[in-house]
Amino acid sequence: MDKKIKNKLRWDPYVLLRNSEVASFTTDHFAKDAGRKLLYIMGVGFDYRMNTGIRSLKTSCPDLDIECLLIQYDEGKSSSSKKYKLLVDANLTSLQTIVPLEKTQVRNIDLWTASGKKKQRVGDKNVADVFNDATIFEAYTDVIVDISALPRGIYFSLIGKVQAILDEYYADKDINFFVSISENAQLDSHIKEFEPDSELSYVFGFRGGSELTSDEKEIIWLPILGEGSRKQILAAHEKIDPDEICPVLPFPSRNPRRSDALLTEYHQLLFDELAVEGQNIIYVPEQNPFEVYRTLSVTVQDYNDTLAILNGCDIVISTFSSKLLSIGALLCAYEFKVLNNIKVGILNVDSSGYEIDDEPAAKKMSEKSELFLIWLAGEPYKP
Amino acid sequence: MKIRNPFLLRASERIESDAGFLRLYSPLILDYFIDNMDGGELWNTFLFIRSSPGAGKSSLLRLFEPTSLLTLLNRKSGDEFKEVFKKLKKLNAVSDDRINVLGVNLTFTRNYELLESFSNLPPGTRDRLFYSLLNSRIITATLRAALSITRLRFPEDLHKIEFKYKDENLYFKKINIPCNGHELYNWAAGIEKAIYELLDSFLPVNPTSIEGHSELFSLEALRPDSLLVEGRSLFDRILFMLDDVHKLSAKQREGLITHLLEKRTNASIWLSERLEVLNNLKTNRGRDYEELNLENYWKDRESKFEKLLTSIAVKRAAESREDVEFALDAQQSELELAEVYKEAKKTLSNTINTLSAGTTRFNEWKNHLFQFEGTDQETCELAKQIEILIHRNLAKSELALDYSLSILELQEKTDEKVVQAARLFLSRQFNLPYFFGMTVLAKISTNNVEQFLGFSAPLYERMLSLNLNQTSVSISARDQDREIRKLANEKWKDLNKMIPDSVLVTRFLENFCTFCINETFRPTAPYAPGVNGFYIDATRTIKLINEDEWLSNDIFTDLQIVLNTCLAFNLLHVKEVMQGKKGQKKNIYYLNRWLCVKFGLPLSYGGWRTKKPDDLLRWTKR
Repeated sequence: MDKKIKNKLRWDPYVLLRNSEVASFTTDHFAKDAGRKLLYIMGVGFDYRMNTGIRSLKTSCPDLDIECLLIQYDEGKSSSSKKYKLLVDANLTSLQTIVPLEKTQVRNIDLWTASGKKKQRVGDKNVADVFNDATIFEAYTDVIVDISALPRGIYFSLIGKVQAILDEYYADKDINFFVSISENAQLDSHIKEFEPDSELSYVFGFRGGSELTSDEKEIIWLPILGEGSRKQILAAHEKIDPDEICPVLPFPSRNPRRSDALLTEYHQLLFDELAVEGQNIIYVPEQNPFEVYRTLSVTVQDYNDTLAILNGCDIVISTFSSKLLSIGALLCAYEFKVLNNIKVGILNVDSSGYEIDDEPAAKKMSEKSELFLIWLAGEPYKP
Repeated sequence: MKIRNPFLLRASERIESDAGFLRLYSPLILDYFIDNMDGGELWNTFLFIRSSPGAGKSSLLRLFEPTSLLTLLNRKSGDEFKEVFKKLKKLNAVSDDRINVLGVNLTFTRNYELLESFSNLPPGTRDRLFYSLLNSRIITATLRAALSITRLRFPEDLHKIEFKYKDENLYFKKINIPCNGHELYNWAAGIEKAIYELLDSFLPVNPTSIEGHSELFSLEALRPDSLLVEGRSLFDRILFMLDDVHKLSAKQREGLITHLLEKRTNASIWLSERLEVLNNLKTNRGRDYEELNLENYWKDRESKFEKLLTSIAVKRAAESREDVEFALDAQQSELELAEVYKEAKKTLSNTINTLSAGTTRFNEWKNHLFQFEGTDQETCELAKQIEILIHRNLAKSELALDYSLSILELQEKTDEKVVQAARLFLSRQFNLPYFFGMTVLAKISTNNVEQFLGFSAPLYERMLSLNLNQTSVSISARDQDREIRKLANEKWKDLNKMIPDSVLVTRFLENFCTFCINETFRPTAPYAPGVNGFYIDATRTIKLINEDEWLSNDIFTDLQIVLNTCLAFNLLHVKEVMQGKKGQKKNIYYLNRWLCVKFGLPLSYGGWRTKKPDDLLRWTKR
């Protein structure tokens, strides 16, 4: 690693737990200390994985005092995922068997606002506003944000806001902050997105600097590629209008040929249409968000150093891939937001509609999901 | 660096050098400005430039940016630049030795509308921050442009600019005027950064700490005589080009336009925005503002547009490392289609005989056809024309005398529309190529260069493949037709991934196109060559709704959504026609020509039907 950045990275070393490690860790962490009180923040959705994390936690720590904050989002009247209301209801019923109703609070947020005939995404800002009162965390020793059933349009700002509040107001209290994800790439491929947003905007809290007209710099775009996202990539490209593109591909990956397959899928787009230089490709491990964060952070720093003579650069990261990888992007953007030296923005392309193709198969597949627990703040990061 | 298929390359406008951009730029549109130049009127008029995406708004604005004008001035005698220079000189934008207009281009893609979503800010604060943000961005953009036009460096030479302005209204609060460009820039940039921080902070920021403005004073304060370098003014006027104004929230857009119209500064202001259905202003065109609709402008200049596309194709192909020219066969191959035409000839003869079996009225026409000595293709076309005319004659309700119609009558009745309809009918009946040749490709492009590139890229890919076989790279009519239809089908399939409310929109378009097909392919070809547009007759709206208000009535929400989406995504485009009472203009909604390809409809204009809003609404429902 670049010596300039070594030891400066906030999440290096890091704590990342998966599958059985999660259960043994939570047993150890929560069950052995009776004084722990947990706020579990999660989304309400149709995804079969909505309750995987909280169920696993309750199984390993049956006596843990959990309070659950449910983010219920309204996607507007044209949302196609409304047709999965039965799945949503089933998830909610199942949740009540894990956390009693009196321990659950619901926060409703609108994903859209209308201005005249125009619709504008506001879910990111609205979810952050849920936590405007910083005292919300006072009563807790631990906070988990479970993003398994939350759309990309929400969880970036949600995690960023929680982390910012903990940094600002609870720096000496060591509240442990985790992000939980139930990951399953195969299941993800069965949930199709359509009607991508036409008016794109940067994620609240991570707008970066590319829209500051007084401070125009070269824009470097780091799209983290996933399958079937050609339209979304093109839309983001049009919005960002980058000077240079560094596609980010998953490798090592569970399917060792995945990055090759992605290159085949996007060959024309990347090399003929967007004129990407072959040497700009960046590889990141598919299942380690901290490594993604580390690689992206080094890239960001290197680009800025190289372009220092041109007043540095602005970076934009877009995620067209798994939630796990996107957490790496989020950490990188957050780190530079706090450092306030290089502007790193996040631009994602959300969709208005989701459709599960082959529901029974998808449900079965969900049982093979992997559970990840990403520890972002608290005891291990004490100076 | 040369690439394999340059037709695929995106964002060429941005990556192209100014010289490359000017070389490709067709200055024809400047004639509009020259025609409206009377006594400098052009520069004093508040001008809207409207079009669908990709129709050339941004290119037009780029032409007036300092770097383009400087490049032009340096190369004014070069053959490729002469024409543009001459026209800009006529407009007084440039003289032989200097640039007279400082073009300041401000794009509204920068999230102004975010301010509107900050519900925890009082509305008054939001408005003040909106004007602050606009003022700060206009000031920084103007200073950059001023440096550029004077060939000074940014940011090192900012201090060389003097800003002298009598701030009688105390617009400038936290800066002392006069000042130098460096101080002015830092002040304006500071405001932008502070607002940006407010918009992007997870932690509370006090909005009262940011300098708020109650009006758009920058346009008034920035004048040629207020920006000096070494005591001299370096240009005659400033042209503020506000691009993509439709990206503002409805409230911001309306507020801004009202403000600009009321204030009436001496600055030249152009507002460019996407054509949308609901943005009519409550002011008078002509008296308060002028409007240039780019699509309407190109409508009557199809051959020039084709010339422009041909030039683009030649230049793109020249960028390919494969050294393959862009070549499309303009004629059908007799040899390739010989069997089809032979069969068609037989079928058509039988049809005409069957049709005219009970009458002798068409005997001379039939004899003329059967003795016709043209190629099979020509014979089939004639037969189809006669078939249409026979249908028309038989459909007449008046009692016809059974005397034979003459060849002269046949020739008189066979106008260009019948000829076109016959070609279309033939292609549909016998699966013959219809969409081929550069002229057709230009029509399919619907006055939109991006759309042209979208269709020509796969065609060029095919030319590259033909080149590998070392055969002629020119694509046959049949292959062009197949490829173009395939592309249109793919675009149609992609719609649900591309546009909001795709279910509503595609249902509406399917119903409308079915209507067009039914109207077009009636045997008498009553609207030859066919129907591909509609006019909304609001006076025929259901009675309970005031005719002017259907567009804002909730009952018609779905139709409003559909029309807005179709215009925003260039699925429909509006053309003005003069019809009815003297001087009365009608807005006709035409299908984008790629949709005509998808549904096998003609590419011509003029074939439209009048529909009531409730008829259109029905098309969104089922």
